[in-house]
Amino acid sequence: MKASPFALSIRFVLILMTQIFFFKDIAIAGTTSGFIYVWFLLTLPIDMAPMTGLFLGFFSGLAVDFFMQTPGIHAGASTLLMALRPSLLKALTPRGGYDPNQQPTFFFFGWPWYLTFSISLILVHHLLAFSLEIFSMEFSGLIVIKTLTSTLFTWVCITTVILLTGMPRR
Amino acid sequence: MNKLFLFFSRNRVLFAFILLEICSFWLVVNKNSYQNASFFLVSIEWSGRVENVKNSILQTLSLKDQNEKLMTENARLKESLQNLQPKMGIRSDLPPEVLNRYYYVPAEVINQTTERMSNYLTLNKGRKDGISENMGIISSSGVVGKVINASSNFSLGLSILNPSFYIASKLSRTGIQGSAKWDGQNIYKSKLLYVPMNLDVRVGDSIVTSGFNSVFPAGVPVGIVSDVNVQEGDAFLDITFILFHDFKKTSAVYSVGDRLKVEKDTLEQIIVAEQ
Repeated sequence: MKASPFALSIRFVLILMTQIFFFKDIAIAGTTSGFIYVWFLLTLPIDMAPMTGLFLGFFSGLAVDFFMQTPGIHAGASTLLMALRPSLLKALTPRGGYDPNQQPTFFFFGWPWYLTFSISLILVHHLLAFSLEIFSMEFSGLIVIKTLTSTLFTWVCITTVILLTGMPRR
Repeated sequence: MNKLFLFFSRNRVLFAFILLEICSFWLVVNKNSYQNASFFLVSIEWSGRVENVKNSILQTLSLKDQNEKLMTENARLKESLQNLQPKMGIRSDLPPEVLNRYYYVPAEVINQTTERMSNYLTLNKGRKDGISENMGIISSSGVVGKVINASSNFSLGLSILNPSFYIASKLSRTGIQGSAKWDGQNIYKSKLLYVPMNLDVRVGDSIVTSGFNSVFPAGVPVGIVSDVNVQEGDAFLDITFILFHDFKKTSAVYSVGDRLKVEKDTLEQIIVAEQ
């Protein structure tokens, strides 16, 4: 899918609002929180230049930080996600390569591909986010628990958003 | 030279990545000097506006609950006023700042975190309304936090759900003093530290502030003891208590200011100077 900067900004503002209006206050059992804005980073165009992606990751993370009052945590995690994304996409290239009109979702590449792609990126993002938030080896157990449960929660939410919005146009 | 340039240009994504991560880490590490970070003053003001909109929607939904809470508090206040009125006549010779040592600014919690290790809350009142740093935040049920930064219309509070927050407390039955500190586990529970082993602490004892660190007046409810354990080889009791303030339910709070704070702190400066 070729996305114009304008369309991308709209997508980002919408998901940022969803994040701060609904997901910010959700903490299931006190440990699980969802960072649904990661959807925006996951579904960026496949052929996006790594450099552009990196800065997009940093600044969108910073915007989330601004509203969540968590300086640097989401900026750092999103930058890491966007740094790994191109290499992961390359490693997962299906036979015949990518088509510039395709979105990195299960609609185009099937569930096994999507599971590997999304879960690994969300996991890395959440691991860094919670490590930065808790910032202490003393609570490494808590970091692991929060990362695992929140990854699952975020993944379910993101997949739902993709199901609702990401239908390929034929 | 050419090779060096080539090296940089080939790895420019990697270098940009490292640079951006350094920026993020710098922001994270600087949150320790939370009070001074200009990021927050702008961030409180803007996220405050957004949260205000969000809350006006959410509050309509919980109006009935809130109303009931306020009515019970009103009743409680009326009652204590009645008890006080006769006594006030005797002491009217005292200067007003002693008689009314504490002043209360009612405010609304419009944003708060509870799921993190270090939690914060935002109030919809700021410097304009008379809130300043180090004022205590209490609700009708108990202690909530303290103000650490205030912009003109909003203020940022450190929640008691924060392991860096020590509440100078005492057990109201026996007067035993301790320090209440959250351990990051459960938002409804906290720990009372530094109570020596040999002292008498029972389940059901209530904990109130001791008023020693001039953030809270003395006697503000903190919680109720739910668990007392003796740790092998530890000089202190392991006391768990249930917090009176329910962060998930109550958003009406008061910021408490101490008119004599400056005087008290100036006097206590001597101790610091002596050391």
